[in-house]
Amino acid sequence: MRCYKRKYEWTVAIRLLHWITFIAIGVLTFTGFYIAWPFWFVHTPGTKEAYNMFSMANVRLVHFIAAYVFIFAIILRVYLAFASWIDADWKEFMFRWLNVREWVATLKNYLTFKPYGVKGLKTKYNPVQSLAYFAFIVFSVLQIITGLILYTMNENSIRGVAWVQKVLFPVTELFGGYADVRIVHHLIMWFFIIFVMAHVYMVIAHDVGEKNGSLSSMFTGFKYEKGDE
Amino acid sequence: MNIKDLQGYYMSIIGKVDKRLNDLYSSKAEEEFNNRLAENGFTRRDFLKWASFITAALMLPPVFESRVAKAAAVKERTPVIWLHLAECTGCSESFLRTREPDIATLIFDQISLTYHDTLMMASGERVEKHLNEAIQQYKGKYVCVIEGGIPTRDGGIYLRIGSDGETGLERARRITKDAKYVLAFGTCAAFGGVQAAYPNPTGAKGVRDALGIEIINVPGCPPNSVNMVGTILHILLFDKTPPTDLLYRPLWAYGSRIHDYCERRAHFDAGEFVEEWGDEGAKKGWCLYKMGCKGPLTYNNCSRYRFNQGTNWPIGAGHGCIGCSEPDFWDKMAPFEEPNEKAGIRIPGGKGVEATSDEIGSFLAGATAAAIGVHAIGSVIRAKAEKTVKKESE
Repeated sequence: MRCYKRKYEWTVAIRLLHWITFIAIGVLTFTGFYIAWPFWFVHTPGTKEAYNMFSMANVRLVHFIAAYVFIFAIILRVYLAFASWIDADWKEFMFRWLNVREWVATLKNYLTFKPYGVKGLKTKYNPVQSLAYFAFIVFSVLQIITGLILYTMNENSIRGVAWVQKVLFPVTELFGGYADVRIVHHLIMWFFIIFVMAHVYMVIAHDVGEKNGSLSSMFTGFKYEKGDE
Repeated sequence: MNIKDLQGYYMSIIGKVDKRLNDLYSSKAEEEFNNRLAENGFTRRDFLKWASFITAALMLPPVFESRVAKAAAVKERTPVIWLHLAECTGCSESFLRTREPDIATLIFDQISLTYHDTLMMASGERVEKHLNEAIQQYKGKYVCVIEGGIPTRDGGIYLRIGSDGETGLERARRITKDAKYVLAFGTCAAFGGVQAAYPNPTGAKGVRDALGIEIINVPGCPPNSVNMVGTILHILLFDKTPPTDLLYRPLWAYGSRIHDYCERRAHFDAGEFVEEWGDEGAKKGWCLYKMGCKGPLTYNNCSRYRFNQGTNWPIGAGHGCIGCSEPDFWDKMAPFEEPNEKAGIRIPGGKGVEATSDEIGSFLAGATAAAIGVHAIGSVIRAKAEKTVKKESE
């Protein structure tokens, strides 16, 4: 019989931020699809029109609230990555995926369907994870910037007033106008959808293969490691 | 700068404006102007109504109303040279298109339209002589209005104008050199317009990009006549260019989006959309967002001042905005009858294959799902195989 060691993996703050970000992404994606293509229409009962109903306005309100939650969750997560007392993992994010040797070892494991952890890797993230999470932060920042450009387009109803518009105007120019900013915003949403799909699968695969409790670790904070036999 | 700053800015220069108007004022000019008003059947009240409309349109503080009225009667006639480059003359049409001669037309008797390709009587070499004389005579004093983009490829040979066959590039450079103000009327002059659309064979550019000079852009295809009249009046009144936004468009005209003041905005917020041309929603005047209206991305004041003396405008007539006052609208806002959701993205390396962002996204998501499936099945097979090996070895 093998015994498993309990290992504290995720701090309370990181677990909280993880689930806040998860909910925000879910809400933002759904409402984002509606804003791009309004696919339902709520009739006022007894009429064929919307009287005292504001489906688009409400959906946009929800989108913007979730967006603010997402912005601050990302800011806090990046702050924690650098300044957490317990677990400052910025090196894991930024440099782990530059290690070629670990890439070879990890890809060998994944491509030959070994669903368990890579031997000899004692770090928090393997290079695939590291790259995915690094990309997640980069795309989050891009999504926040493009979102803010679109959101502040009507601020005070005067262009050039909104300081956000002024500061981010080079970005607008870089993407080639507001129409393209919108397309970039929409495309990055697909990154998040794909990220969530792959992330959930990998977590389950590791949980099943390694039996390390990685699925429940985001609730409990503990992962399990195989001890010595 | 915002609306409040705009008001503060004008209040801070009010002393200068008064001084300028007092210097230029002559009772004789005012009398002549009043006579002309009466001849054309306008009362003093009509004129003051018009003055307050222009004051409001230019977002001037209310105290400027009397000054706008006074500016109409100044004795000095500002010389204007109006150039036509690569364009369709639609901006001049929009400028001149009036149901009946209105007060703005009379005001423009106060400027001296020295040169206008389509409106002048003279032609051929006489015109060139006249133009050169005007440039010499009003050196550093005239306003140069440019309508149309400037082809720049191969030295600008794709546009030749006048009896000397001068290229548009040379001509624009020569005439703007001695101008006091350069105004770019229309999207072509401001951002290149239709002829600058992909693949842009003539290398057409807006005036600012082609010549690298300071100008005021008044884009639109065509721009509202209020915007053109207002920009010229602003110069008559203040001898100054209006405060502009980040694309050098006057803030008072391009400070807000079509969407922000649209008459159908309530239907947008309510979620009432036209689903196809001529359906029940279209008859009721619902929002055209799903029919490709680009109002949410377009800065202009059409929704407030409309066209052809306020008769109607595209959204009022049941077609969405096509975003004609934004840079590269021909490429960026297309397809015009579909929302941005359906905008094609050229895939690099795909020989110009176009796909919408959702097509690209669903394809990648599908690929991810397939990879997950393969990996899951592979893992299960491998786990089973290892179990059998283990059992056998036991």
